[in-house]
Amino acid sequence: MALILDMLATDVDISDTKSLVARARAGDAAAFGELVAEHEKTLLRTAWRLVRNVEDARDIAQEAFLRLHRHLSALEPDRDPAPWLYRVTVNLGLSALRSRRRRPEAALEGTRGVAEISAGRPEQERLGDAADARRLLASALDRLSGKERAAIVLRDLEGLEMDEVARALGCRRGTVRAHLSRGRLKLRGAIESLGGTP
Amino acid sequence: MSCSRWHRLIALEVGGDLESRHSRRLEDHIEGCAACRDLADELRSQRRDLMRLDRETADGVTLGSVRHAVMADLAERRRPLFPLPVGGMRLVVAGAAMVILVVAAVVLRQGRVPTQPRVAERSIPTSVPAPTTAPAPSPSNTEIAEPSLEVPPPAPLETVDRPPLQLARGDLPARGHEMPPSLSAPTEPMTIKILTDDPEVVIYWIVDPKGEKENA
Repeated sequence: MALILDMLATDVDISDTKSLVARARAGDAAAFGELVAEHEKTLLRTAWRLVRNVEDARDIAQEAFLRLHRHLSALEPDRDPAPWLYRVTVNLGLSALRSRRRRPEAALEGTRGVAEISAGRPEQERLGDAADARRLLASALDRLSGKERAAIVLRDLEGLEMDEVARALGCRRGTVRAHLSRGRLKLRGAIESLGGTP
Repeated sequence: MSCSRWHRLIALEVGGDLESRHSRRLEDHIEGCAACRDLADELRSQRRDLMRLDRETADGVTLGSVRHAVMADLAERRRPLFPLPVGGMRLVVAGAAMVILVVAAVVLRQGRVPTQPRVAERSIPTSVPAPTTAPAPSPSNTEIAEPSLEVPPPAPLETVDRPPLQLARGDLPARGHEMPPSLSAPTEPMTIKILTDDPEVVIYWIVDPKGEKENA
């Protein structure tokens, strides 16, 4: 439901999306281009929230769309591709996180290309200044497991419903709850240990 | 139940993810447990800060668009291994391909592949040998002339100046003569029946493939 509301908020019509899928399945490249344009913002943002790196996020989103193009023939014509895209994006993001953890030199670049935060001073003081807050958040998220991080990103940051998160992660609702519970508690502990005040 | 187990439920409750059957029991516990109440407040505050900070950060990230890259990648994959030239050369290549296809279709239709041209032009001698026998005397001469004991010398050969006769495709007559398809490649002697005004007189012209002819 949250996904649908989100799509409505971004002026995306489900029926139009299904029509685009049908046309793209028939080989209409322009229709596939419109499909990409409709979902790229959501996918880029989700990928970035998972990996906190602009280049990696762009690679993930691009690969997700290319996989969608290969998957078009198997996709049901009347089915919205958004859940499928979410799942592919999450899987690619988790894979990127695993790869990054095998390469410690690949540091997080969560602050790259980020504009200065102009939030009110009282809120910033709880997490230090803006740059410190971003670094603290990125470091704390990096201490979570991939599934915990993905569950928090999809549920708390993207605002997906529990069923949608379960579908994107490819697991049951109970498993998603476990990831969310552990993730939120670990995030609090990570912020505390990193010097922040949760 | 220990507080650590309540903490897991609190972490779910702050996000609205706790099942309703556990909510009442958790509320009862939090009312009587200051540590769990503090934890719930901290987690709610943390979640609010996380969402706000992340939203502000994500909005500031220049993610751009991947559409161009995706479409370029797809176009690259669709590109043929041997791309056709552009512009006028494309027409030339297409025309050449068309000619090759037409020739191949004709050859396949005939069921044979021409290794060398079987249609050769050749000229035949311009002088046609005259008959070796003397021409038959006319009836009027036989009646008037006296019979001679000597055999008259053969008449000199007549030469006729004619342009070389061009034969084509299996000794067909000269160009310009339309022959029925069945006669285009004669293998048997050909008989031409010529009717005259006199129904009693019919001329048969027999032509064999070697060019010999007989009048009957």
